[in-house]
Amino acid sequence: MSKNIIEMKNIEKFYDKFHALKDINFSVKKGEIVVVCGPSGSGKSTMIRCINKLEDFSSGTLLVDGEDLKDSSTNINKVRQKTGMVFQHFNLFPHKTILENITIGPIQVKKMSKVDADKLGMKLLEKVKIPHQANKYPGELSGGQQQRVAIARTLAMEPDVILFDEPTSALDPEMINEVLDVMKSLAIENYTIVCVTHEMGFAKEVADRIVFMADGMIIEEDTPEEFFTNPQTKRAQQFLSEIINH
Amino acid sequence: MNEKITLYFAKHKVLFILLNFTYIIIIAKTFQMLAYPDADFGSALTYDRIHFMLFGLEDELGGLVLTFYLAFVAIILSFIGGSILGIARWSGVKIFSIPATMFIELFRALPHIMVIFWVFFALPVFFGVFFGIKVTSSALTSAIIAFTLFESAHIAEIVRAGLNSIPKGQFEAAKTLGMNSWQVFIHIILPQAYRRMIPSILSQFVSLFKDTSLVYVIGVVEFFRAATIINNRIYMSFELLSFVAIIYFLCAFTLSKIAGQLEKKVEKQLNS
Repeated sequence: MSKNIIEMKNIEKFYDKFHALKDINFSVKKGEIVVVCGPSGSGKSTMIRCINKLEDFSSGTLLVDGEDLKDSSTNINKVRQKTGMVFQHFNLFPHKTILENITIGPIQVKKMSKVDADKLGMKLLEKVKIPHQANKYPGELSGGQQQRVAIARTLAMEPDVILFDEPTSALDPEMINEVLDVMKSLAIENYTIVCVTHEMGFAKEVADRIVFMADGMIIEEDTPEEFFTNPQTKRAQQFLSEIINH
Repeated sequence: MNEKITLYFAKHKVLFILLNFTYIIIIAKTFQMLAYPDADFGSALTYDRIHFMLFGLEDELGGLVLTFYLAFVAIILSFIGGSILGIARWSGVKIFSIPATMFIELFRALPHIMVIFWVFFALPVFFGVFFGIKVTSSALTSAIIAFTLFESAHIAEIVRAGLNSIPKGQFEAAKTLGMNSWQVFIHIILPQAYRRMIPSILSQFVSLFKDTSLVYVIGVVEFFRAATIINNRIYMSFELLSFVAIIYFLCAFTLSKIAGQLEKKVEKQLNS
């Protein structure tokens, strides 16, 4: 059995009185591709944002590669190097060029030399198919291109797991596929991926497992074949019919 | 080289118009005809007097040059002071933010002219009583200290607003790369904040430039005081003060136009 890279046990989270996450038990193995879906407000983003501690949780244990996030001796910056994240709104650094966006992590955090980082950056830009934009600024790129740069920026840190937080939700429809294609290529290359998305086609094609959330709980967890053809709960059936009717 | 200069002025028409001295004469003449037909600019504004108002005495810096010097030194010092205060207040770390907030609120609530007087007259007494140091106050040094004190408070608020304007996503993206708080601040937040601040800081500089006229009350012979010194001798206030007004306007207007152009440039780069 391969090792769990992420392990969440009995995670609870409150925003004041609002119970955002209820008894979340969830784990991800190395090389696994997990798609998290569910209606909006169900706690999907909150859950994956707990994994790199962008959100703190109220109780429970969360281990990333064996390191306990609640343990005060855990260096959160080290854990974050292992868990890359791609955001809905890209969050590229507007004052840095595309190449600098990618190299700043390796240079500052891994103390890589600028020459090596630039080489790595160009290699990654080729991988996401926009090497000719290296010296432009994020503002000059389309949304789809910016999101591909954001993926390259994450890859530059060679994370053990990549968290995608609705990576295509802010994109114009014609740009969604270029981003999904890059994500699919990562799936083939055996990256470990946790992805919050509404792209059910993508989920069907590449996911090893679908996690369905509603009202802050994980209410269904299954293979894509089972989940799409034979959803167990009423909430999941309702959710799927709404998505497919669109 | 010549072509370059012509191109530069063609690009910055406003600057060219303002620097064209004939316009000063045209404005002055219009003033004269409309408001005060007996005005005699010619005999009031002799070469020596203009020279004194613009450059001061031969062995002592003064006049408009001193105004610029004062404004320039004050803006640099208050930029440094304001940055430290603004970052301290923004940081939310209580041992930094509470003193910074107290300083900022105090100096934003005091009249500038009172601060100038206080630094000139009361600060030496303060040092004498509390530290036993005998300080003789120089008018120019007092002016620079006073301006640095209240301008730092204003700049600090600009810095804080600039830092507050950086979206949360920028912090998150930097943190998820594994950067520590210091790296996030230095490489991601501060550079963006400063870029956004450039226009406000420049317009603060313009208002500081005008406010320098206040220091005439403690006897610094800058542009405004130089003009009043001449006026006390020849009593041609209409001519002299009109000249002063035109020069102040030209300088401040030019500065704010330059600030406006820079603002456009910054906006272009941050449009994403």
